Parts: sequence; C-alpha cells; structure tokens
Amino acid sequence: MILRIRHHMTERENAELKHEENKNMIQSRTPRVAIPALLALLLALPIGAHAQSEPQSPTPETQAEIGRRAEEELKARKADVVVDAEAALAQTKRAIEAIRAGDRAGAIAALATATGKLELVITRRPELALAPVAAIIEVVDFIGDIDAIRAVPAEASLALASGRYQSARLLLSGFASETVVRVQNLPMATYPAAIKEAARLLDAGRDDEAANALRAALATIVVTETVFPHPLLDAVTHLEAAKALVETEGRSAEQNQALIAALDAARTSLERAEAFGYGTRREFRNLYGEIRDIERRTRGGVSITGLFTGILDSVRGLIAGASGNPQQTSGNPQQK
Amino acid sequence: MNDADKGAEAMKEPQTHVETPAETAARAEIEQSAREQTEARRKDVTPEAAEALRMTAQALDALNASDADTAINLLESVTGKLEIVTARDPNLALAPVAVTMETVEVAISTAGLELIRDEARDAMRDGEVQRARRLLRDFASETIITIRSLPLATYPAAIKEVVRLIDDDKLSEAAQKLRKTLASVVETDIVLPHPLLIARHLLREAQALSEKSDRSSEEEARLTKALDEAAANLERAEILGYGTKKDFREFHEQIAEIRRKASGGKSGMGWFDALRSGLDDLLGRLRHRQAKAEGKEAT
Repeated sequence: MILRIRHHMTERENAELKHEENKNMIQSRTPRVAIPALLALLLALPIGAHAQSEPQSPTPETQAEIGRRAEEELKARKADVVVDAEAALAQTKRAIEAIRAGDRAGAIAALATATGKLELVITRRPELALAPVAAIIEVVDFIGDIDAIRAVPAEASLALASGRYQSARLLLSGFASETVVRVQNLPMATYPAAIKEAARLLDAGRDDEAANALRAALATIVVTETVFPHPLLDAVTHLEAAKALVETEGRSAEQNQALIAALDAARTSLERAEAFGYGTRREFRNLYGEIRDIERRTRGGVSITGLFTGILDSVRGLIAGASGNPQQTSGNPQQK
Repeated sequence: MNDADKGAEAMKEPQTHVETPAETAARAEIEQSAREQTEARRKDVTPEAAEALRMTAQALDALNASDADTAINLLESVTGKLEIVTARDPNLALAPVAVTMETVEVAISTAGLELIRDEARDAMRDGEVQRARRLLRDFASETIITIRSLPLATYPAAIKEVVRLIDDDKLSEAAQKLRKTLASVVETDIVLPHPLLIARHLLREAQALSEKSDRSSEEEARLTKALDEAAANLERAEILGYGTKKDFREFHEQIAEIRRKASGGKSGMGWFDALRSGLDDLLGRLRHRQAKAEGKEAT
C-alpha cells in the first residue's frame, strides 16, 4: 500500500530527467548513503576504483546473458499490458489533478472514462486478477569491492537497531547488483469498485474524500518484479564453465588451471552475492561446501559427470527466489 | 504464526491507513507548501547549465555511436554554456538544472508498519539484505524536493578532459569519463516528513483551542481529538524512523503534560512552546539528512 508520485515541473525537465533515467539503464547507479562513517569509507573508494583481484561487475558473457533475458522478459511483459487498464490508470491520475484544480466536472468525466475502460477489461478478460499497465527495466549496480559491499549491511543493521529506519532505507536503496523487470498491475477485484466509490463521493460534493479514495486506489497497484541478480548469474556462468571442464576427459594441465580459476571465480561471485544478501548465510555456507567438495573430487584431473547438478540447482533456486520478494504491493510511480 | 509470518501477511493483506478529515486538511497544506517550495526553487534553475547537461547527455549518445565530431561540437557548446554561468556568478558552486518533487506514502496502518519494520530487521539479521531492502524501499511517508545541480568546481574541467580524450582518439575512455561526469550531478533533497508535519498542523489547532478560556464542549472534544491525532502521527513518525526514541519520548511526555494542564476546561499560554520547538528542531535535522548523502554523491 504505497503511493509514489513524482511531479516533474516542466516537459523539458521531464524529458531531461527521462534521458538521465535512460542513461541509468546502462550505467551503474550510485547508492545514496546517509551515514558519515560509511561516507568516509566510500570516499576512500572512489567510484570505479576496483580492486584488481575481484570482479566488480558481471563478466561480458553474463552481461550479455542478463541483457538478453531482461529484454525478453520486458518484451513479454509489455505484450501483456492491457491497454484499457493503462488508460483507466491515466484517467484516475487525471481525476486527481482535476480535483486538485477544483474541476469537479472534469474529475467526474475522467472517472466515467476510467470506469468504462475497466468494464471493457472485465468483459474481455474476466479471468484477469491483475491487469498489467506498465513494464520497465531498471539496473542497479552498487560499485565497490567486497569490503565496501560488506560495510553497507553492517551500517544498515546498526541504523535499524537504533531506530534510524530512514537511514537504513537510504543506505539500502541503491545497494544491489541486479537488473529488474518491474510490472505494475491494477488489482481488478478492487480497483473498479474504488473508482466508482470515488465518483460517488464527487457526486456528493465530497471532493477531498474522493481524492483520498483515488490515492488509496492508486496505492493498491500491485508491482511484480523479475530480478536478475548479477553475482548469482555470474556464479552460474563460472560454474557452467567449470562443469564443462570437469566433464572433459584427459584434461590438460592448462585445463586443470582453468578449472581451478573457474571455481575460484564462482566462489568470489557467490561471496559477492552473499554480501549483497541474495540468500541466507546458511544457503551460501552450503554452496561454499559444495565448491570445496567439487575441488576435492576433481583433484588430479579426474573427469566426473553430474557433479554440478546440485550446486547449479541451488544457485538457480536463489536466482528464482530473488524475484519472489514479499513486497508484491508496492510503489506506484506517476509522472506528470 | 511468528512475527516474520505476520509481517508477510501484513504485506499481502495490508490494512489501509484511513486519514481523519483533520489529517486530510493537514496533508493538503503540506502539498501546497511543497508545491510552493518547489516553484521557488525552480526560479534558481540556471537555463545554460540545464542546457549544458542536456548537451552532455547528447554528446555521450554521439560517443556511443562513435560520432566524435558531433560529440566534440556538443562539448564545445557545453563548455561555452558553463563559461557563461561562471562568468555571471564566479562564486556559484552548484548550478541548479532541475527541481522535482516526489511523494512516497506508505498508506498502511500503524500496526502494519510495525510488522514491516520487524520483518526488515529479521531479514537483515538472517543476511537477507535484498529482502530487507525491498521491504524498506518505500517505507516512508514524505515529500522530497530534489534539486539537481552541476558541480561547477569539477564539471567544466571534466568536460575539457573528455574533449582531450576524444582528440586523442580514445573514444571508449572519453565515453567512460563522460558517464562519470554525468553521474557527478549533485542531488540535494529537501525532505518533508508527512507524519511530523501533520502532527505540527494538529498541534497548532490544539494550541489555539487550549488558549481559549471559555471552550465549549464541542471545542473541548476537538482539543482532545487534535491531541490524540497528533500523538498518533508522532507514533507513525517514530515507527518510520523520523527521529530518535528520545525525541518521541519527550514529545509524548509534553503532550501528556498539555493534557493535564488543559483538563477541566483550563486554558493557558505557552504550553506548546517546548513541544513545537522540539518538533521544528527535528524537522530541521531531517531536512538536512539527505543533503549529507548527496554530498557524497557529488564527490
């Protein structure tokens, strides 16, 4: 139940901001940090100053894979968008603006259009519980080495423990390494009734209450997310490479070195994923154990098949779990 | 059902926070004030700097398309625009380019807020930071006015450095540098925490009533209600973390003291001074909160 409204003051500024936001799609997003101690730490680690020994962003293979999968997901979600529901949402926002401007007739007209559009959705797709209205891609990539990454949850935990929830929220807001496809949906079981109720309030001259009812209706928009956590996908890339090598019979010395490097890289990616919190400590402890087990069993150039099934399934399970976040009812970006 | 499960339930079936008419009136006042502040800040926007930022973004597009000539032309114009800005006001450190206003309202009941907060704490304890992050992402009730500015101490020099890299045919490095330059845009936030501002609005109303010597029974009821609603909003503010436990303990003690003083229809002056002053101090501290964060982003 969250309402997020962004007001952009001019079309020109809006266009500029949009341009910048588009840039963010391909850029790393710097986190907002409110804690002086962490501030000092991050100042010591200028953006882009990566430790040479550790990968700071997905490998080119993973990047390409994430880009391909996210684009596919976005395309599929955009194809799902219900145009009439999208129009109903736009009319809801128009009605709020009209009420704010004292234009009751305009607000009633907008809500009548919204209701008509929603009736069309219900008639055409009676089975639809959530009507998708928009889909976007967002990339959040916190830049820093493993120590810098670990410092953020430590600070956030301190902030939470001392009741500074807004500090914790800001600390964590840009703390991720992921590509997200986010879909906004109208809850069809409740939204149409809420719009009708707002129209009734307007008819009764209760404009403030109507505006409140509309804001509350917007706050019921359900956001679903498909998350592609970069370090976990990176770990899969390295594990797949290691798997191919392990299954190679009569590995050369060079291939054995490559196997060691691939498993090392997988472990490092998992450490980053753990530091970002894409799973519980226990889950990651098990994964490290599996890597150690693979290392032990493949020593001396032994070729084995089926050794990676468990670990790959577990990592893929964590990737799938990243999308199953509990905040199914979430923000509702509005732009004007 | 343990607390975490209750939190998950609260997320699935959140109880809407129903505003009272007085709260709605207070919210309208906050919205109006935010709009006026935004408009006032917009007057400071430097058109040449805004144009310089837009052209920088275009230059990056050109570089991405390996169009060095277009990029150079655009960056020359950027430098020219920025020279105009600095010539006009040599002491200007930050040239505002855009002002935006954003409202985040977690419109769920106080009990629901507590459950989300507790679940976020549990997630952090278990190392599930991303789960905590998503729970807290919109855990706020505030309007933020964001002023985006070009840092004049570094931005023009960075543009010149990009031009030098393009001249040396290092287009990839130039693009990287330009991305970092675009990311150096400073965002300064003015935070308006709703529950605290609503509480302040209600306390103003309560103060006017408490100063009235011949309160009617209806006015007496309104005074009680205003104090109750102010206390409820302070509780929401505390759960959302807009202040320390100490701040809120003092506020609640001061409200209790006011209730005692006003009991039996008594009236008086100055009862609200300490409370309102404490609230204003807190609002001032929170207003500054994100400016610090943005200071880091600027570096």
